[in-house]
Amino acid sequence: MITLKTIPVVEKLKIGIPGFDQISHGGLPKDRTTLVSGTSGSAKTVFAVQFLASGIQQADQHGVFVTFEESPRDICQNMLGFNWNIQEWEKQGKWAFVDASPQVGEETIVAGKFDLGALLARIKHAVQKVNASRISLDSLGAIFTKFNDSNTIRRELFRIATALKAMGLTAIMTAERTQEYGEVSRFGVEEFVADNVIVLRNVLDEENRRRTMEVLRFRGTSHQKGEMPFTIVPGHGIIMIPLSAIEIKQTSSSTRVTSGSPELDRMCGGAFIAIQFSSYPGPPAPVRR
Amino acid sequence: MANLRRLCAEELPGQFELVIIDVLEKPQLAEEDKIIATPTLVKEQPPPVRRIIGDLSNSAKVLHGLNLQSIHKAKQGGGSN
Ligand SMILES: Nc1ncnc2c1ncn2[C@@H]1O[C@H](COP(=O)(O)OP(=O)(O)O)[C@@H](O)[C@H]1O
Ligand SMILES: [Mg+2]
Repeated sequence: MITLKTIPVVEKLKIGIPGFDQISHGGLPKDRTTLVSGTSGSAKTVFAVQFLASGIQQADQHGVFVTFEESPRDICQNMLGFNWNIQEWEKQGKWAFVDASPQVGEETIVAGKFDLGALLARIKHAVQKVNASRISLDSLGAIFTKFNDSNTIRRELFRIATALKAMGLTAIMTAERTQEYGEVSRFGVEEFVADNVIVLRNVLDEENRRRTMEVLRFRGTSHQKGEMPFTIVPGHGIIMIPLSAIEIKQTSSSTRVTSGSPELDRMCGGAFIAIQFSSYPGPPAPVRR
Repeated sequence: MANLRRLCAEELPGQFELVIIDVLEKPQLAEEDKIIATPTLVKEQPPPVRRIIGDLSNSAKVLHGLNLQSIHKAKQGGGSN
């Protein structure tokens, strides 16, 4: 009698953002929701759009973009700078927006219990329309402020995440945080999509802006730890240089050069060792905390 | 829905037109109108357009949203206007 035990393996979906698939050990957890949290300006929207754009350009996987903050029009405009022609993809049936952004002149009054059934119906409709396998929801904070009922919104977002999983979608939800090092997100969003969390940071480091990405957790699967530097390149989007790709070329040398001080030379065991550095043009090495 | 019918019948006898849309059957209409929450009551006429969200259990807020003053309240309060 042989007993076989199967251990569920979390499949990953290569998302096609340069460097990301390495640091995440193969991409985002497939058919799951990953929370991408970051301060304002930390590139949440760029990441959320690039996730869909890479799918269309590199894997012929279609996407749905649910926007809570910026209008679809603004997003299309902004992203042209990265050579992502969203309007063209919409025409080709590869991209669909679900516009949940604030409407001009719209006044909303909450008078009793509600759910987000209408939003979920629209998402399902859009997913079917373009046969999507990827979806981005950007950014959750806006919907919390709109309805001012955090418990209902949390419950409903959990219901949406469950529905996305059932539809076999790999999803990104973005959320705001107020500080670079502090609680994961506002409104406790991470509590219902706690399985997978990525943090984007935009820190002032010796007067330089430094952008980093950290995979905080992926349930049931591995990933590289620590903050990874990335840059935003016009015409391309987010580009990350994973640690394994960084080679510091250093030729060891035994050539000694005098320091100029006989006393110091003696203390150093003869004189200074001449070291040659070949400069590496990439971002600084990752910071570990 | 029952709350809404009762409110309309009581406050707007014979003066309202109510169109009911099932978002599960017609998600494209919800998309066009950018509806997120269910239920949503959209007051289209007279302007301003207003969205009243929820099961309308809070009558005072609904009336306020519809720019109506309760007839009952007005009566109870002496009803000088
Ligand atoms: N079209 C663009 N071309 C170059 N850089 C851009 C473009 N759009 C945004 N960025 C850069 O990306 C940064 C992050 O933008 P965004 O993703 O909107 O942040 P968040 O959504 O986290 O608030 C901006 O501060 C800007 O520096
Ligand atoms: Mg944004």
